[in-house]
Amino acid sequence: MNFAFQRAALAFQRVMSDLQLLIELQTQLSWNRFWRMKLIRKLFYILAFGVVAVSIGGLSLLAGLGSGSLLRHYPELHLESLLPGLILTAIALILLISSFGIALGSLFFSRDLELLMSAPVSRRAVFISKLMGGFSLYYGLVLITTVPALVTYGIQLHYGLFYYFLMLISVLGTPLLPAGLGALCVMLVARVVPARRIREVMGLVAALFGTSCALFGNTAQFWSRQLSTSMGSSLGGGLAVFQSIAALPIPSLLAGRGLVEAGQGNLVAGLGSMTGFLLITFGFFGGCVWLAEHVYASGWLRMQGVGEAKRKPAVPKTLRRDLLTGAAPFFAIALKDWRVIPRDLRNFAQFLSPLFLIPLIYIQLFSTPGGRSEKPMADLVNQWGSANLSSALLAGTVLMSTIFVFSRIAQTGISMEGRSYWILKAAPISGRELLFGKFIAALVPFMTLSTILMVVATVLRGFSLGGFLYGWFGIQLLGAGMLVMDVGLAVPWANLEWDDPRKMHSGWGGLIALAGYAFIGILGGLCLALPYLANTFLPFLAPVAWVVGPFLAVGITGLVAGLAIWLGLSRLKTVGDH
Amino acid sequence: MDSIPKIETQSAVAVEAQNLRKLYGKLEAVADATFTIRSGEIVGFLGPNGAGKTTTIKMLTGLLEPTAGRASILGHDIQKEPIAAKAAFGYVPDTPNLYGKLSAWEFLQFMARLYRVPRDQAEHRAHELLRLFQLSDAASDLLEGYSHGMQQKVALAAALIHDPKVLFLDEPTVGLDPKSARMIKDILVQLRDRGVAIFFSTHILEIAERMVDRVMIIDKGRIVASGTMAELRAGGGQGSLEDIFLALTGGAEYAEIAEVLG
Repeated sequence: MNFAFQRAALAFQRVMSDLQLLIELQTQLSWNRFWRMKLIRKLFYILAFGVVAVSIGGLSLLAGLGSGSLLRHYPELHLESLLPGLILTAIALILLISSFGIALGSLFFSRDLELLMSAPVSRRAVFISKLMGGFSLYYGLVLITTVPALVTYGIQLHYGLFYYFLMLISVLGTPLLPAGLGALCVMLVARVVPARRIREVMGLVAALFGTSCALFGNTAQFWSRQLSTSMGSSLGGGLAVFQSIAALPIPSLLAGRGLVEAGQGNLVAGLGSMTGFLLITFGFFGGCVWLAEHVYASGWLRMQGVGEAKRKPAVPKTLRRDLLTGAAPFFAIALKDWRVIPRDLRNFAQFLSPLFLIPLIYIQLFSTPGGRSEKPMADLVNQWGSANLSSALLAGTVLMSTIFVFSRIAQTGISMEGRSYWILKAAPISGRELLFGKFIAALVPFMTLSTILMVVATVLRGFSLGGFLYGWFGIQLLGAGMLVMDVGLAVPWANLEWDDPRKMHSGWGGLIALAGYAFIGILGGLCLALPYLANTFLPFLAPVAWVVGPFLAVGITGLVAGLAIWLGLSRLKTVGDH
Repeated sequence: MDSIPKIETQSAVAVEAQNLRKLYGKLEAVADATFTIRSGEIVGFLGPNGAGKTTTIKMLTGLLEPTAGRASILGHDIQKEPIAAKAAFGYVPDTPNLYGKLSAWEFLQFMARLYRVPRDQAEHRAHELLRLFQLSDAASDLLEGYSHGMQQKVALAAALIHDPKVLFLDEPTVGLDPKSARMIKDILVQLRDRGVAIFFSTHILEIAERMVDRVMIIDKGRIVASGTMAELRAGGGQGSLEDIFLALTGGAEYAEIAEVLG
């Protein structure tokens, strides 16, 4: 017994000493990365962090102050434990959405894993340090978001010191459960999926995991409707629902209850709730660490076996004349992309979340009162030429829901080439041909899906034929402009060295693209809506608006797209230089 | 072994580098590299790790923009007339990095289209090359399932699909088994005999000594020697290519290392 205890103590000591070493290494790496940045970039990061911290921290502080003050004045509501519990639950949910992706990136896609796994270092220490490294930024966000709210809440309700002590423990413990859950899922997937496709399947599962959570969030309107129905119109009913939510057996709500009980001086009850919370979170995380010794290491080893995967015995097939054989270079690039994207689940995963949103948008759009026409075909024939603003808005919805799917192809057009980019760079094709190929790769599926959605919208909503044609023209014009812009912006921020598909995207590129979407969408859309606006407010100007509107829309779209493509062409030469 | 379709033999200058220079910040990766390669000539490019071999090849192929100097392929400046220059050469990098989700057949067809090879010729050449590299049975398999050596062969087949007049190879025999390495050596010699100018970097001095017409040695970004084996020996080098290489690039430290380890 004594011997077993000594062994366990030695193993624990070993893990802790390795963990310290690995954390020191990660800190050194992060510091070097920051320190070697250009001064302007360093200043930008510091400023951006400051702005985010002040704005989120400020909001959190106000939330704590406001709700604390409210509950101090209305103690009969008995909702004291709701706010701390809800804040911790919201944080846990947000972390849960991204936990699979973070765990995947840090546990399996880190470049130094080969070195660490072959070194005589505890694998549990590797597991914990990688997971902590992945979640460190999120820990920072958790602290900024929760601490100001919980501190001011405690001050408002005159809670004792024990509240603040337990608050720190609960804030630090909250991310452990989602982190552990994400890590456990990643480890299990790595164990189950065939080694050859493990990277792709992991990418796909990460996207599905995030998408499912995001979809749940996007259906909040539906859930809130259900909630309000069950609440009825009485305040008492509402209170009962809130009180029952606060009493739910969820670890973060348990922590919230413990905090408040401790704050109100019920130390035993507070410690009881908090012990429950700590047992669940630390117990779960501890279980994951315990499993990591074998499950994590064997999953990682399976991943390394990709190159040695057993191939099927070669079956000589008749090599068919391929579509690629007769294509022009730009079209060959598009055809290649259409073939590679669905075959590589990592790339395919990028389209899933916006693709899943389309049916949701449609359901919401046509489930609203007046959303569907009673006699759509009659509308189509009888209302030739007539159009209204609601039709324009519907066309806008079709545009935006479709562009978010296929802009991914355009935005990652260059990054998607990855380390194979040398093939295109060494080929005798011009930059224009390359970018045109990337544009076509995104445009054709965009046109196909947007046309289908527009036809469906026409049938359900009862568009006029004129409205359908004009709406379709607007969608294609603005959509093509946005895709050209995406292709242009894909060049300066291209990342060819990605393993995790989410790293194909650049924050800067995405931000500028969003601004471009807003510019093209709002200004171009307004120009296209000019005839409708004129028809409603200044009917005598309608004929002029029918000419000027589309003309201006083409000009604005062309200008933004032209600028982006000019930027892309001017930077294409340097892509892959390092 | 099957023979490679014959191309017209030339003896003109195929590759010309003039004062090529590449700076990475303050580090001079390549300094003032000036040389020519003629058609029907195999030039071996040797140098220690980090000497500037890959950087030089990347500047010659237009994959890297030189800080100064110019390079031309068959008279076409790689920076000013990139399309004409690139159409004239084939390139095999040190790590193939092909599209894992295309089959070898699809990849060769794709490359043929990028290089504007007519449809019938593309299909015929792809069949021939796959047969030559003994890849016909696996032609329909995705490249991700290929071993490193097989991918290297596919990369070489893709570099030959458009019948190039110049071939650049960066460490073409790394990771290949002796049989495949021998096959690639034989193919390169055949290509040279048909007038193709071949420029390849290697660490394996035995390969360079046996098959090249001329050797160029680069060290710390500077070309420190260039000529045939006979010329290098006449220039003061003693014994084998390995002795000359170590004498030029500094071999004393290796002996010290061996002593320390021994």
